[in-house]
Amino acid sequence: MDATEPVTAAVAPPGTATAELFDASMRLRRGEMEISADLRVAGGETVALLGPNGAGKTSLLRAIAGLVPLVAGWVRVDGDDWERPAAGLWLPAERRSVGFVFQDYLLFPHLSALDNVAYGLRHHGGGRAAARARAHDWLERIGIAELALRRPSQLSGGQQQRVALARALAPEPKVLLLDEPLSALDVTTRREVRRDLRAHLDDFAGATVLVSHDPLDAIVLAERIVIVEEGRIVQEGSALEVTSRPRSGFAADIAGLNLYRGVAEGGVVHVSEGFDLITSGAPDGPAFAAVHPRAIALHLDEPEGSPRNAWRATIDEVDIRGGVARIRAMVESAPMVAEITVASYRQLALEPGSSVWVSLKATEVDVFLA
Amino acid sequence: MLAVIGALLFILPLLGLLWRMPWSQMGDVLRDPTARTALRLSLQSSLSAMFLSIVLGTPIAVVLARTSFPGKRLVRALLTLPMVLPPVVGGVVLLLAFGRKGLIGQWLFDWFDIRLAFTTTGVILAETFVAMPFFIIILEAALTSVDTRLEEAAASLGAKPLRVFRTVTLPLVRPSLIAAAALTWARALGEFGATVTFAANVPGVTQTIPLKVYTDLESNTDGAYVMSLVLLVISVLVLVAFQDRWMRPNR
Repeated sequence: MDATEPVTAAVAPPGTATAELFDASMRLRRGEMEISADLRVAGGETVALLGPNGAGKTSLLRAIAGLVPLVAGWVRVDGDDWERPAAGLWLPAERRSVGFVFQDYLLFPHLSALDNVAYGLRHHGGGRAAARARAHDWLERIGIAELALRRPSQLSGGQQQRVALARALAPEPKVLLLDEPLSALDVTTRREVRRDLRAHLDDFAGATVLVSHDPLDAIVLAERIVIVEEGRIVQEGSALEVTSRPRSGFAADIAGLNLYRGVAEGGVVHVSEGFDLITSGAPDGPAFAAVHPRAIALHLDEPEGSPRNAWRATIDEVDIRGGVARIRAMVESAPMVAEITVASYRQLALEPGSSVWVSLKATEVDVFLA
Repeated sequence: MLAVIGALLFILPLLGLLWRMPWSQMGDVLRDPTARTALRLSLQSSLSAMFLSIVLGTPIAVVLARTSFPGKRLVRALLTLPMVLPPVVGGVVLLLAFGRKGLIGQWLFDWFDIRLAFTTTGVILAETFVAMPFFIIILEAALTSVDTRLEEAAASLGAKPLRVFRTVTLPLVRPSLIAAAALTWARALGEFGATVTFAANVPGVTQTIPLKVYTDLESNTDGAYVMSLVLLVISVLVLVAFQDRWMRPNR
């Protein structure tokens, strides 16, 4: 046997033999519910915990941050144990190198945007002035330096979100935790902030764990998706894996999202199945394009006016559930699912096999590089 | 109609005081040395009682608002008992505890030569005993209304518990804390029953304004009326300025 053969993995205690920056095996309790999840995240990687509300995703984030204790398992970051109940080890929240972006941001209402961002920098040495200088750099990076002295209540939702992100990132944490970072924003702001957030995550060297119930956020922001239902991980994989082979009810819902692979060029995505998606602007390169079923409109005649994407398609399948009709139409060889009310479905009098026009606005296409 | 009668029940006595007020002798009364001594003693002891209530009451309010332990309701009831206890009974129990022959008082005297009863310190102790509960319950209510997740956010940014309290919790409850301190001070300023029982009525040592008013009613009614008006005005000012704070702790 080769003397250099790595055998450590076989003999090392669980949770110690990993090259991942973040390694956790968490068992915790929230009221009656038992939550359990194993999670490994590499430096620079973003993993999304995706699942319905009440699945235990936020509790997992809080456990990583040290805000709720584990019943069993461990949280290990960069080779250091943060928590290991079996060994009686528990690091309080203030000693864990995490940045936490809370769902409703939880900016300190009595402090300016600048002082919010500087808050976590105060024990990084250098005193008050240095902390404020660095906080100011961060406000410049997120593009709101001129609002530095405003209180959170004087900022828009999108600006508050950015301040919350800067506050979490400024102390250069090893682990970044994002709890539904975009859910409080309106649709337009959301798309813009999502794109900026993606750019910040690309720059971040630590491990990122993101919680969301919106598949689009997860697909755009994360490299890997972990589906959590009722306190358990039910599926794990890339966006395409999870959407193409759903293994649970929630994953099936995600599958309803129209996701295409293609190449983006000058704001147009050339989809592999042979049609073009015009977008409101996208970087060039191999990309995914995602379109929400509710963004797709169906017409009997060729639509006039604003929609820049319109194709003739054939209805493939109709699924009516609780007042909503999910209609699958084939554009070239690619399926496109539209969600409309049953009332408008009846009005259109569509059935499998009938021909239809499918349209969608360029602004409704979300593009992210593969 | 009943509301008007009820309101008159409060307002008529105040009008009565204004009606009998010796306006022309007001200056003389306020310049009287014994009155000034009582006024000074009142201010000293009530401000000390307020300070003591802040220092001792804040940790109590934090424990009541942030922790849970068996018997917490009982502990809160005991701590706020002086609000409903007849002040004279407060004076009696203070005597039994801190008096010259009291539970603790005898040791304090024998070992450290410290006397509390019938001293100015005793006045402060009696006023604190009666007024601190107001501080505790107002601050507790304010602390309970603070979103503890803001404190968690501070902890996640590396702030130790004491820094979290100083930089997040305290600023958020500051308006309520100021209001609580003001009400506590006003209550201490008007304290009578416990003070007269525990510290007695010694001019220059334990005779605060309320005690002087009581004494003067027999011999110097004009002085009693003027002093009453002083206390009344202070009370009204405090209430008008801060009533929002303790009736609605969520800012």
